[in-house]
Amino acid sequence: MSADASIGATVPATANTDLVQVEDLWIAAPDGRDLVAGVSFGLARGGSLGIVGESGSGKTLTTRALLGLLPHGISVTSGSVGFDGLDLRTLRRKEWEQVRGSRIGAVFQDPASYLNPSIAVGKQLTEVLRVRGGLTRSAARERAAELLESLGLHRVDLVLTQYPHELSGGMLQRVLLAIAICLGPELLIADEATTALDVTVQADVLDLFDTVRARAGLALVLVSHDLAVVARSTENLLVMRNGEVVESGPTTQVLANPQHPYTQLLVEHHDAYSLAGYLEKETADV
Amino acid sequence: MTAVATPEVQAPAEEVLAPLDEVADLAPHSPARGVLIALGKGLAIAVPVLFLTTLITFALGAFSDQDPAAAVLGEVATPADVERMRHEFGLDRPFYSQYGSWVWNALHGDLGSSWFTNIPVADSIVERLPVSLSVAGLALAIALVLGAGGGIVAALNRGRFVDRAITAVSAAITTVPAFVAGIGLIIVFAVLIPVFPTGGYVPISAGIGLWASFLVLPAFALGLDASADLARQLRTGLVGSLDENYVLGAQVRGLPWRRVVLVHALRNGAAPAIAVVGLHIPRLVGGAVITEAVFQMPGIGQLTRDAALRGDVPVIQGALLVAVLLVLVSSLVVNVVLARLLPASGRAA
Amino acid sequence: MIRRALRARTAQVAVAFLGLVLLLVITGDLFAPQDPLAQDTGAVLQGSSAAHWLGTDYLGRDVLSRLIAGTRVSVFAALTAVVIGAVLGIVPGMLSAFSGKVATWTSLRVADAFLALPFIIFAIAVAGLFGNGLFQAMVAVGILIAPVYFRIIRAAALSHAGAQYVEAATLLGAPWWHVLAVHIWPKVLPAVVVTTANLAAGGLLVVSSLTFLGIGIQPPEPTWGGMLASDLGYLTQRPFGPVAPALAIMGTVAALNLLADAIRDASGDAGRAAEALRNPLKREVADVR
Ligand SMILES: Nc1ncnc2c1ncn2[C@@H]1O[C@H](COP(=O)(O)OP(=O)(O)OP(=O)(O)O)[C@@H](O)[C@H]1O
Ligand SMILES: [Mg+2]
Repeated sequence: MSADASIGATVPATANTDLVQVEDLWIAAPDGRDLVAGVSFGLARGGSLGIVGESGSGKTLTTRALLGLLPHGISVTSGSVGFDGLDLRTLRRKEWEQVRGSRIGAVFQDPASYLNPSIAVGKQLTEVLRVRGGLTRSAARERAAELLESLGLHRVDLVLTQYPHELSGGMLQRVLLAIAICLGPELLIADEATTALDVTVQADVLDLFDTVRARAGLALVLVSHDLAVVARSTENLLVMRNGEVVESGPTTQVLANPQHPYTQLLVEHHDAYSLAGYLEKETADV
Repeated sequence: MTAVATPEVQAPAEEVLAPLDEVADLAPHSPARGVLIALGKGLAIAVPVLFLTTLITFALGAFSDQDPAAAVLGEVATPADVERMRHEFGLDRPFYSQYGSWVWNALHGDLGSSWFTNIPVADSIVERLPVSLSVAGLALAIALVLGAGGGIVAALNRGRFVDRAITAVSAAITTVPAFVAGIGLIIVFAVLIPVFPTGGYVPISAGIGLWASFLVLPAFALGLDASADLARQLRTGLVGSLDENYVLGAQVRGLPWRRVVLVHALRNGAAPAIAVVGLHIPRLVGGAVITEAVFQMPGIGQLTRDAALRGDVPVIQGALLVAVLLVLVSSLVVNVVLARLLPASGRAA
Repeated sequence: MIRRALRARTAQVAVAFLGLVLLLVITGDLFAPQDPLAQDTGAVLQGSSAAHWLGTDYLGRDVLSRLIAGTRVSVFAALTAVVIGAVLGIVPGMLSAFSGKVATWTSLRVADAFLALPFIIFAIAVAGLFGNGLFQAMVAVGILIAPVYFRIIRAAALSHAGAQYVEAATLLGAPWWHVLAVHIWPKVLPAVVVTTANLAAGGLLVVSSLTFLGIGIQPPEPTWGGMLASDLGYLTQRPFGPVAPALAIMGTVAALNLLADAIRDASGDAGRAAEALRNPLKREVADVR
């Protein structure tokens, strides 16, 4: 369940044991502009992959291709997206519905917007357990309470009856995480899931990711702006720019010894603007 | 050619969805509480409106130049006759006392009697209400079924041929006034292809099939415009909510697409459409008058019209009261439904 | 604004049509090929012919002549309602954009109360109570549509009430009526124009509905709605009889609405305020009936 040596490296791993295999993925806008250009990567069962890069570099689109949920008009133009031997590009709607939720889960930035504002959060969680998991109403309720408790929420009976606008960002992200993992998926996608949270809550949620992964053998794709976050939580790293992968490899190695000028720039900036970097400069000035 | 249509109820603003903003600031913990609050607020508005409108109605009658004595007795009446008649109808009492006893009696189900036939107004109304309610109710049902179906189908096929076809047809329909639609339906389905009667009414006790055959054309004539409007509104609302993140969120959970649309998207996307249904209800009630005339149905509308042509004040007052009551009750229902549907309607508009 | 609106082809057609209608209003039955009241029992319920372009009705009267002669009543009655609504609605609407909370709340609720009334039934009732008069009925309709003006103008004025030049003018001590007349009025004018066109269309539908019911007219006098009603009794003999008056009504209504749309499109924001609330009356009557 730890790092898989076959992932990483500039040449994408294609070992058949990988859970996710993306090869030469191209995604285009309706006007023909390429938004993602030839991205490849692999991810082993239980492994973890970070994706960093500037805004608009195609991180979100890449993960959306894994969910088969590209925005209206945007489409995959070539390449392959493999998941556990399945060619995701050939799935029909009904088949997708069997994959999403039960095999691939996802959490996003701004969790409130991903929950229906008019339905109590508990109902949205039990809905998945009942409709997809086949649980009875009471079993689903029990399971939901259990899940939320295990994710560190207090007074879960109250929380279950509340509406999204009545919960804080950290609570909402936990609820969303509960929904994402409640069917026991093999892959979790977290797209900027901790970006909007304040630092302590961010650390809590990242810890949760670790706990859940350890418990369930979950593979993780973690998209973030924040190098510290990916450094903390992922074993392998993809650096993207303008829809292309400019550098990839084991996270520690890439960050400690960046080869591509863009990655070097990222690391430098991060150092300069992190608290540690800031303090360093201050003391140097004195 | 958007001619006679509601705007796509756009964004927000107290200005646009007045009934909605009443519900907006509730944010209750339990839906039941939200419904109660909506009910309370609705009543708090409906009761003064009812008071105001009955006052206007009654004042109009009292200050009109209609006089039962002149109307009933004709020109041969002696002044003594007229005086006696005025006294009989209580018209020699001061205005407030007349109004007071009218309200008091109305609360007890007594709306007075026709000046001409002496038949109690309440009896006439009770006798004719089933006709009007049948037409208006069926029209509403047609509007809901056609409108909801059309709006959902159009939204799910956004930009495709079906969508454009539905949008165009509903825009065209909203330019046709209901009495013209009624006449057109009669020409086509009763005269050229005689499958339905040209008009008239039989009670439901004469057989459901027969009863329905008399109602189909008037109900369509009355409901078409509402259905077109509903379809447009629902399409707009649904297209908007299908773009929302929570729809994506529901898809990510692997929920079946039908469920995503009908439970998650519709619940929020339907709000403006439901508000539009609320707006249409006074129109269905008012429109019934003319539809009843086109199809010669003995409903409240015909009662009002005949009374108006004769100057039969108590009947006019009673009919107006019933019409206003119908409208107020239905908008109350719409507001409660909205509150139930959108417990967090901070985002509703 | 008007010139820009007229660039659209549909707007040109609409204006041409309305010009024709207006001409008929002014000239009355001057251009009618025959006497609209002359009966000819030898030629009842005819189809179109050289002598009677649009045929004859159940008393042998020339349909085209009656259509032309009926224009004036219908248009005058509709305009009565619109003018009264405008007079009662516009100024309070502008004022309420600056009024306090209580006044605002009250006025909005009163407006809602009026808008909740079924217009047609109310108009019929008023006509009945005051001697079967079309004019009285349209006065009542005018009062009932005042809230439509009120809300639209208020919305339009609100969007400018906070503007800097208005605040500046107020700070400089300009009296409120000066601010309204000089700064606010030009901004809400497009909304007024659009609303007026829309409401005129709605008013016309109300008139047609009332005359269709026989409210407010004395029998031989021709009106569009009245012609529809009398044709309705003879559908088996003359199935397409109602088409001509129906087209006259719908054509005028559509022309007014198209014009309103064109002006709204040409005037940007201010017009859109009118769109946002469009338009209870028009709609009630539309299905009407
Ligand atoms: N719905 C859309 N329509 C058109 N272009 C889009 C759409 N969504 C994304 N794009 C474009 O695709 C490119 C990649 O977008 P993407 O959302 O994947 O970036 P990102 O790396 O996730 O950025 P961020 O860090 O800001 O989230 C961007 O240039 C963006 O403009
Ligand atoms: Mg992104």
